[in-house]
Amino acid sequence: MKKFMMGVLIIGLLALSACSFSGGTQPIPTSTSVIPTLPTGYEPPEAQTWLSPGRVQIGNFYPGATAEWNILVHNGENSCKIEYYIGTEAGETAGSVVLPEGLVGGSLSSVVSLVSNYLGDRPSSVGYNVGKKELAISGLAPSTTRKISIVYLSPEPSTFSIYYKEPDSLTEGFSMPPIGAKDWVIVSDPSPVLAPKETREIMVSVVMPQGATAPNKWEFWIGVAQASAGMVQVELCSRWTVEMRGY
Amino acid sequence: MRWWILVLVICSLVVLPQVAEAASSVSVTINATPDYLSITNAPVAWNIGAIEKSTVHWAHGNTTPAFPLDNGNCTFTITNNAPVNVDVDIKGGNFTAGAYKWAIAPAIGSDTYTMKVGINGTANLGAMKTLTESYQEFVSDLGLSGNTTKWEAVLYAPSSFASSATVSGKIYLSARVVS
Repeated sequence: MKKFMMGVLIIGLLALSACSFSGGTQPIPTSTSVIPTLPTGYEPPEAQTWLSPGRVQIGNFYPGATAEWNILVHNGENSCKIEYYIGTEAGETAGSVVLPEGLVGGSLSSVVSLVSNYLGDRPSSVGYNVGKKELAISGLAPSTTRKISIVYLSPEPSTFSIYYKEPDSLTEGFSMPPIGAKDWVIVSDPSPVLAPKETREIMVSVVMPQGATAPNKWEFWIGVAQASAGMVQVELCSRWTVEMRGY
Repeated sequence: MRWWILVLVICSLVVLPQVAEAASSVSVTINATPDYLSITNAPVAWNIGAIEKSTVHWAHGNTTPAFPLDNGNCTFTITNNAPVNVDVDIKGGNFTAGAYKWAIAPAIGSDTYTMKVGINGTANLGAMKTLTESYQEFVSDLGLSGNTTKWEAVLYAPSSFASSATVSGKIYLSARVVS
């Protein structure tokens, strides 16, 4: 009986031991995610596109671990661009175009730029019919056909791109990301569509595979770009620095 | 007595891995600075208009500006709306009209154009940056909360065109907090 009880005890302890070994070899993905609180007076502008935070720091990282953070992407005002060919007859100096999307507030102040490819034109927007979404233009040269390009602010939503990016310049002491790091970074929604003045949380996860290697301190960026109607496209990049365990 | 020794050995096998686990379970830490990034560029559009081969087109009035560049002869303005200083990179891209394209390159050629850019204070034409399809640093340490930098661009048209199609393209600005 004594031997039997001891046998049961040993089997039980061995089973517990096996469970402990199993738990000890598993990665323990842990992270904290806190939306940054901005100091008074530094609230982000509602009318302009912004990305927060500017820098994310991961520490104690190791193969098999996961780190996650919600970045914030804000759509300021959505600009649209259209191009029309407008012809004028002899003595005619005005025309109009119907905009596919309305002007913000139905106001002419939402017309950002109005240019013609004919140098003899001096186009300007002089009126807007809200119901017809029709923009009246004056300052056109008579007896000419030209292409008019209009950039304006619209209440329609805008598409963003959110993506992994290799740094153009590094934070001091940090290295370029290891080969394959692009595949470790997962953006929960890489193409969000945001209404004007909408802010969206987007989860970015860094999942380092078991057995992968990386420099002790490395850096990558998360880029955010808004589909732009203009010639100049702006990209905002959040720096992500990673320090591996033991450094 | 032999049984108790065996029990002690087995107990140590149970306890030791838990100690090891505690050593390996240090949490990954993740922190972020309480800030945001926001830059704007105005004007958003540059309509170059009709272009003849091998011609030069400045954004500001289509005439060669005086050097060093000053605010008065720069067309574009980058504004930093963020509460942190930023660095801004710039790159160009091909101009396209469907499948037809003008390639961007340091020297003009057939269906190949060149674009140079410079910020306020650029000493001379040679000091302007020649754009490629890769980012290069353009504005360093632009101050926070409304600070601006003015800049100018010039396009050198291709030496010949295979098509008269109207092409369009973009200039790309990329901002991040200073390192």
